[in-house]
Amino acid sequence: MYIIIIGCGRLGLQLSKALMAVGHEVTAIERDPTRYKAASHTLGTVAIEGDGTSMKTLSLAGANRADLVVALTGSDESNLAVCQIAKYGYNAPRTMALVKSPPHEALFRLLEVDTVINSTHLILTTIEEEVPKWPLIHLLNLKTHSMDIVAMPIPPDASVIGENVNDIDLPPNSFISLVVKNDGPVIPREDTILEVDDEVIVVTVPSEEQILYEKLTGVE
Amino acid sequence: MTSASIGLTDAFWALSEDDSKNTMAAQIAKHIFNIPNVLCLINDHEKLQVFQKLDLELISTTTTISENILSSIGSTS
Repeated sequence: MYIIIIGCGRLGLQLSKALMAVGHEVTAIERDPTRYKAASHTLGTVAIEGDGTSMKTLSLAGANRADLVVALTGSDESNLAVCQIAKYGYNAPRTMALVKSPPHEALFRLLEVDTVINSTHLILTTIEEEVPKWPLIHLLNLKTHSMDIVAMPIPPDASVIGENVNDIDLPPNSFISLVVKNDGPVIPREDTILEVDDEVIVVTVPSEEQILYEKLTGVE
Repeated sequence: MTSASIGLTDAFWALSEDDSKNTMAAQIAKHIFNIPNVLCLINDHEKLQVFQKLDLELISTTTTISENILSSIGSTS
């Protein structure tokens, strides 16, 4: 694939190297002269100096034949502009953007940036996974349906222990899709009973997460 | 934008020197806050065609000035 990366900070530089190492053709664009110098030192002629939001630079980089354009600058505004210019000016089939401010994520999706990388969300997810007994672990976000897949260990004193999975009164858009038991995962059947140390994988929507959490961990 | 009580706004004009800031702010105003009258300044006229596809009301100083000059030439000749 031919991939254009805009923004050669630490992330852009690492990504360029990794993509080149697996055989992709890469052009990395950096506006800041100091960072460009560092980038060209590592990447050679793959790095070009210029403003990735200008058509001049994008044309020079051959944006019309790019399979993927990745915007990784420190500015959400620039990242959105890069993706929109790539898509509507050069018909780029796929665009990706880094978003720093979480409220901007919805806008980027609304405006059809194909993949939105929310760095704050990613870091938060990593922390959630590391913090012991954190109740809801976000495994995956299905962006097209705005649903989440979450994992949840059932606490030993929860009132749902001993209950049949099908009898648990879950919110309307939440579904237990897998129960992980000590001896392995099972797809919930008519006779699946929740036991101590079980972990459930639930498909849910963000608005139901709180109720879901209370249902599955509540002590009555 | 929330702090500028944008919910009550009838018109939103993004006129800064930074095209990316203008286009993003204009799109937030249009799509998130549903403001009916949104105007967006594009300083770099090369980008005009691209952002026209996004259904934004655009103005460009270079285009406006050159159109003015052209029409004044037209009117005196």
